This record gives sequence, C-alpha cells and structure tokens, in this order.
Amino acid sequence: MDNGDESLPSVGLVLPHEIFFEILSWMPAKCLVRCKCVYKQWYKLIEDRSFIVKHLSRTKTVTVYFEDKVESFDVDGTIVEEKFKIMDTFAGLILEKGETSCKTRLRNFTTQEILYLPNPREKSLIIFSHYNLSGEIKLVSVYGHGNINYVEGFVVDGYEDGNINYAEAFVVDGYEVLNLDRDDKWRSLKFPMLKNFQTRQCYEFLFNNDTIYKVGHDDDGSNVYVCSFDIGSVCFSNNILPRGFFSDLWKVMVLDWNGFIAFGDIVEEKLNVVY
Amino acid sequence: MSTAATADASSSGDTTEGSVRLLTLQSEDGEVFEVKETIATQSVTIKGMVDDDCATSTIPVCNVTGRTLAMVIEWWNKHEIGAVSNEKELKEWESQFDTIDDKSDRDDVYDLLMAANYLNIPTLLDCCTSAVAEAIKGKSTDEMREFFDIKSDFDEKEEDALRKENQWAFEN
Repeated sequence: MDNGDESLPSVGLVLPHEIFFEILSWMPAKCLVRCKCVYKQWYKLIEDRSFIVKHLSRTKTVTVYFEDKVESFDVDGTIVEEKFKIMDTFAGLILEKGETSCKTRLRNFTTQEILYLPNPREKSLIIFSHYNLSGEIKLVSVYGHGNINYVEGFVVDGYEDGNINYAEAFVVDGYEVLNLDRDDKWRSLKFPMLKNFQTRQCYEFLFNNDTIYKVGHDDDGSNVYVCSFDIGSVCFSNNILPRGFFSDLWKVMVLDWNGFIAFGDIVEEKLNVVY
Repeated sequence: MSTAATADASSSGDTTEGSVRLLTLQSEDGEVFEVKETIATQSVTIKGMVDDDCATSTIPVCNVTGRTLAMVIEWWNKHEIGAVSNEKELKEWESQFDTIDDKSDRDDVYDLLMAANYLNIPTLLDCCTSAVAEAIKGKSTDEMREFFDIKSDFDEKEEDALRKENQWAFEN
C-alpha cells in the first residue's frame, strides 16, 4: 500500500487515491498514457516514482523480436549510417550501441522514445544493473582491450586456459557506472585491493548482471581472495576463502555454479560454493 | 445472525489443535458475524488487533455493510490456507469479478474494494483492482471518467495539448 500519499485528497466521489494507485498499477503501459489525460491527479500518480516501481513489479515479461536499427547522422555535412545493436534490455527499455561509433542510447519499447547517453569507452560491454528497488536505472560498462567477441556472459582476465587463446580474448581494464538520475557522465569504479593481492593471478567474473567478482591468490598461494562488487547497491565486499578446503590452492578453479560463484578442485572432487 | 461463520469448517485442516477461537465482527449497519480467528486474520488490520490482544470483544467494522462483509467472509473462507484444494473451483469463483458490466456489478466491486482497503486484505485488493483495471483498459478517457464518476480538471487546451503529445497511445 502507498501509505506515503495518504495526505493526498481522494479523487472522484467514491474511490480514494490509494485504490486508484492499485487499479492503475495493473494497466498496460500504452493505456496508462491515455489515463494520464483523464485527471490531473492520475497524471501525477502515473509519473510518480513509487508508481513506476509498483507498475514494474506487476509487469510480466514478454518476448519480442528485435531488429538492429539503422539510423542516419549528419557528421560535418556527410550523412553517415550507423547500425545500432541491442546490448541489453530491462524494464521495457532497450539498450542500443552503435556498431562503429560509441553512440549509446536507450529506447523505450512502448513509446519508442530515444534517449542518447554519454559515450562510454570504445571497447566496452554495457549492461543494466538489475537489482533495483528504488526505481533508478543504472548501467554498468565493462571496458578493456582485445577481442570483445569473446565476451559471453562473463569476463576472464589473465587466466591461461588450453581451450581459448587469451592473447585475443577481451581483457578487462575497468568498470564504469552511469546512474540515469544523477550522472551526466560515466563514473569509474575502483576495486579495493587487498594486501599482497596478485593481480596477475586474477580472474574476473560477471554473474547475473549484478555482481562482479575478482578472485586472486597472494604471493605464496596460501590464500584465495574474493572481492565482489554489487552493481545495484554499488557495494564492495572482500572475502578470504577458508583454508583447508583445497589441497593445492593453485589448482583451484572458479566456476559459474547456477549463477553463483563457486570454487572447485577436481582432484579432491569437492566443491565449495561461495556467494 | 451468523451466516458464514462455520461454512468451511469441515475442509479446514487446522482444527486439530483443539478449539478454534471465534471473533465477532459487527458491520456498519449492525449485522454480527462470528468468524474463525484463523480465517479473519487474512485481514492485516484484524491480525494486528489479535496480536495486540484487542480482539476480545466485538470488533466494529466501520464503513462496511453487512452485505459486503458477508462477501468478504466468503472470500476468506475460500482463501483460507490449507482449505482450498480445488484450484479450478477457486478460479471459477474468482471469475465472477472478471466482468464488470452494469452499475450493480460495479457498485459491488467498489464496496469490496473499500472493505479490502479498510481491512487491509492484500489478496482481495489485488483481485478487485485487477478486475477493475481489466474492465477499463479498453475504455476511452470519457468512458473512464464516467466509470469512476470523475470530472476532468484539465481545461480544453491542456487536454488537447496532452493528447497531441501522446497521439500514438490513442491510435489502435
């Protein structure tokens, strides 16, 4: 219930404000646009942040087919065509990035309104931060160098593996965040580094679009550190993997275990799941 | 008068604990209902009273008529935890809210909405509000105003500008 709005006067003869709040929260987006023209109180209600959050919580996921959009731009008198590729979708918004330029924009699927964002770095992977109770929209950019086509769901940094030639793979240089409400440019994120943290022995993983993990050993391999960053709440936390689980920490693998970060040691056939 | 008090007692799974406490509810127009505490606490408001030990005597349910309160109690009986095993039957019973065509239907739902809001019964409130949303989502702005007895407070110029700005939403 929306107790914060109790002071607002009731509209109409019959129903109080909080009931309209509930009724309108079930309406499809296009219909809400019409509802905005019915009554001033409704207009205010529908534009209100708490209503938007409520409406999103009611919304069911629909599957639609997207096509890359081609747009023309006038660059110093020359018309340049730019193909926009879809990077991510969230809450009825489509995140698109130009194939050749850094142009990045949001398209509202219902209204087709377009909002251009500040340009992110050239080689970057941009996603929505999904965990969001306040209704703010946050974007996270993972930038680096190498071949961005290797990026599929997670990012590995400096980890040697026989199957992939990591000389060509995407190597992460850093992270940036853009809060659509507050930021007019991308903000850099810095991972707090633990003492003796060997960045060369470092893995990076991105799970569920909301947490980034950095995993590293210290010099003699006696400890494994896990540094995690929650994109939604912009929180870092550091953990040290308990000793004694694995016989040889150098052989510990980092895995995606149903969306959680997990550590495994094949020799012992033991699996320790850390979240 | 105690209509719906023990209607579903037979299908209830939690009477094994011994005697079930009965609460006495009194509607605005004086009708008295005896309802099992386990059922009535689907209302967050009543649950609060029970938890605070304020539910020992008759509980007045202001702003809710006996007719509406009987409907609310029917809802509680159908939705008691553990009581409903027949999903299909429940869906069928709930489907009566799906069509709100004439004024008497509308008034019933209005009464239930006010009661659900006052007694804070989230499931009933969700069911009624989504039914109303379903009923109005195809309506024009004028029809919506008529449905809710709302008079537009936009002047003509404002409304025209707003419509123009959102033209796409008025097209099929």
